[in-house]
Amino acid sequence: MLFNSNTFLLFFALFYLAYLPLRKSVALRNALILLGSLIFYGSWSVPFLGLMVFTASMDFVLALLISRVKSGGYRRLLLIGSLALNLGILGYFKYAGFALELWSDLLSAFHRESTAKVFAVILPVGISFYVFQSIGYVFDVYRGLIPPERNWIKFLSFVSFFPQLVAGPIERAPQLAPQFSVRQEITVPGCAEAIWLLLWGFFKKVVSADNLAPYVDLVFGQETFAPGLYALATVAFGLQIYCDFSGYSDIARGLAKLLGFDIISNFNLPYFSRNLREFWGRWHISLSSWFRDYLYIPLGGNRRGLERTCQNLLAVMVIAGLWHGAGWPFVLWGAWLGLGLVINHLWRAAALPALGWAPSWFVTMLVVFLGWFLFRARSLEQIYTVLCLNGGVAMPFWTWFFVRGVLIFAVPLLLVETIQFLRKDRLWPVKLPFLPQSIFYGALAALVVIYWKQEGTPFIYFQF
Amino acid sequence: MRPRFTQRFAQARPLARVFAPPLLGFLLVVVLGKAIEWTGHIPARRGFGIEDVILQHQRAASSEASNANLLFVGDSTCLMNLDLSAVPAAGSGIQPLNLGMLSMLPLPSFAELVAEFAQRNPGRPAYVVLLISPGMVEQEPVALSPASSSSAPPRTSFLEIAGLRRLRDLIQGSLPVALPGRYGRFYGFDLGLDQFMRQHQGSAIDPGELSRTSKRPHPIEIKEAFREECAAFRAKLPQHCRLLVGLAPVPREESGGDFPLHHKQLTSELGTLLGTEQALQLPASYPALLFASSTHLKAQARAAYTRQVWKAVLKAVRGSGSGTVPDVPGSEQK
Repeated sequence: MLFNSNTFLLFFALFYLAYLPLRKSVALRNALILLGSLIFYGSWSVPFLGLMVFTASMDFVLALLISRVKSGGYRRLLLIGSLALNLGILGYFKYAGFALELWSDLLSAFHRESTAKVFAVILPVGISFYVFQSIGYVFDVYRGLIPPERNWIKFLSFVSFFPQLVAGPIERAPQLAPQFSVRQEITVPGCAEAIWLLLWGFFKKVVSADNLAPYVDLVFGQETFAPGLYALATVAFGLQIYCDFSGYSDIARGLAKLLGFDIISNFNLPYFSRNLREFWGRWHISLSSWFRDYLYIPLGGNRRGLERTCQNLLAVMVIAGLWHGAGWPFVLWGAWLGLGLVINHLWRAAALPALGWAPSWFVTMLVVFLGWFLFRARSLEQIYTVLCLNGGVAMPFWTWFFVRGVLIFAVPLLLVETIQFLRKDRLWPVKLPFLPQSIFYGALAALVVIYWKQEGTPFIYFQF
Repeated sequence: MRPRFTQRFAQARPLARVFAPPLLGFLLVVVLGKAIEWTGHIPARRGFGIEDVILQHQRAASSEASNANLLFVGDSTCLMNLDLSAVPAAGSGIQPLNLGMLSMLPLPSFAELVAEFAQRNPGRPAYVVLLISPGMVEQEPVALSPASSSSAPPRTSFLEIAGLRRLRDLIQGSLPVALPGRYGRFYGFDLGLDQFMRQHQGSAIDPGELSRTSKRPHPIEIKEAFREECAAFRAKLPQHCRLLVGLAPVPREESGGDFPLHHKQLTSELGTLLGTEQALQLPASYPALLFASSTHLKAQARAAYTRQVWKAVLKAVRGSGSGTVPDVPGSEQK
């Protein structure tokens, strides 16, 4: 059930009708949210719904045990148990095929044949998100940041909260879990914000991302174009993935706000960043902060000298790349951005003078978009082919059509975000006077309706 | 105590302020869409698939003012196999234009294009050259319409009711739509194909690669339905036009040793059926490596083939050959 489908609209309308009268009772509301979330997730796959309930329930029990056990050793053992369970399941579904393929390649390099068959595993939708959310919860209980949740329904509602279940934001327990313990008021400002988030989120997904996709696919679906065209297609992809993912996050936040909940903002105008560190503070914020808090800092962060800091940065970014999927392009993408972060860190450590706004922005975007090229490439062969100029350097005669089409879908985004950036206010449309707001919202709504597809098109991050 | 009406109204106002703008704004857009619909100032909806672009381009070309006095019409072999930039039209006194369409379209639809052209350009064209693939004479034609394209965005009744379809057409009119597969690689977008055809006097290129060939199991026979179409074609063709007819070549590996003779007989039979002034003597087959598909020549082979067609056309028009036109290497002459 995709947000951008008629089925979801009907589902949410019915859910909301039941939610409004029940919201005053915390227990009934949570039960309804859980039921809605189970239906929502079950619409993809009932067996995988069982898997989600199983892993979340195990974490519920393990967190309770961690809080009761006094011995540090046992507590650590329970934490490792939770990590092994979650990462084991994640690893099996996400990386088993890739690992076997690597093993097979390795053996064939030594002229040996692998007896293990390479197989494809169907990835449960949203597994990377809810597993990380669940791990974060157990970690936080282990570190004593939050008490364990004793109500199974409340905990399951927190893990499976349908607005952010399948593609985040990866919520932190201290932020979201307490909201399931109190009555949430649906406020007028909250509704105003929700309407803007929903309209803008749907616009970014249905109008921008879905229409940019064919342009990107046209180029990346082939292997022998000029690198210049891949550069243009990479820019288009950078916009597409941003519109797709931030669109999803905005819709998720809008839906949560309509229910009276607050979930974190996953994007904060990332393409206005002036260095990579800032970029990661603005792009997929919930994931980058998750890696910072649960991986980078436990590895030592920047407290163990320059060399170790650089190693940590590289390691975390390679793992972040792998989090996106089992494939060499993702590893390369993570390593590339990790290298960028290392250079950024060394630059700061050496107290070199900062570049001006425009040069630093340009260099940052160059690194980010080169990263997008690696991310979007279908294979290492494609990257190699493009970099070796196998497609020549001549641009096809239809390049201008490509640019024109991309511009048509990029300009509204750039305009709105530039105003958001200049005003330092991402909610400026909410504060517009009545008539301009009506015209603006009406135009967005009409474009969403015009490009709406009954069944919707999947979000890119669903595959991660 | 229940709040009084005024109090409840006061409570509802902020909520109305929140929900009214998108609804009112949407209503404004609907009114705008309806207004555009009533004025009828939006051009007809553009198709998005390869077939749509070709159909619409050639229909538009046939209804434009032109100085062309020789029209090539026919199926996709006419569209894809000719490269009119390769022929020395300047000194010949003949201005050619390619209105080749698609396979599977009924033969009379090609004559309709000519009739439309003649109506827009009185006295023209002097000559019509019908070029079709041999296989067309035994196929059942299927009428295509721009709406039949699979790549066209789905039409929904809601858009229709809300008056938004016209707005969508207005937006889509300026948007390049990516073409699939090998056509996407070569032309990029529907607008790219359209531009290419405009720049090449109505011709296009099949960017494919013939991967495998299979021998035809039986000789080609003209079907009864096609015979009827021939009569309808001739009836629709403007009276002042002289008609020449030719058959496209096929991959040599798909035809038997006696195919050149069969090709010649088919051409003659077709000429008789259509009551043409002359049936053109064109190459019957080429090596498969010169083909992009089982019916279309590759870009490299088109120029030489076009010169051969041009030579035959000039010969028919003037009653003598130009004599200096090179052949395609490996072509099998009749």
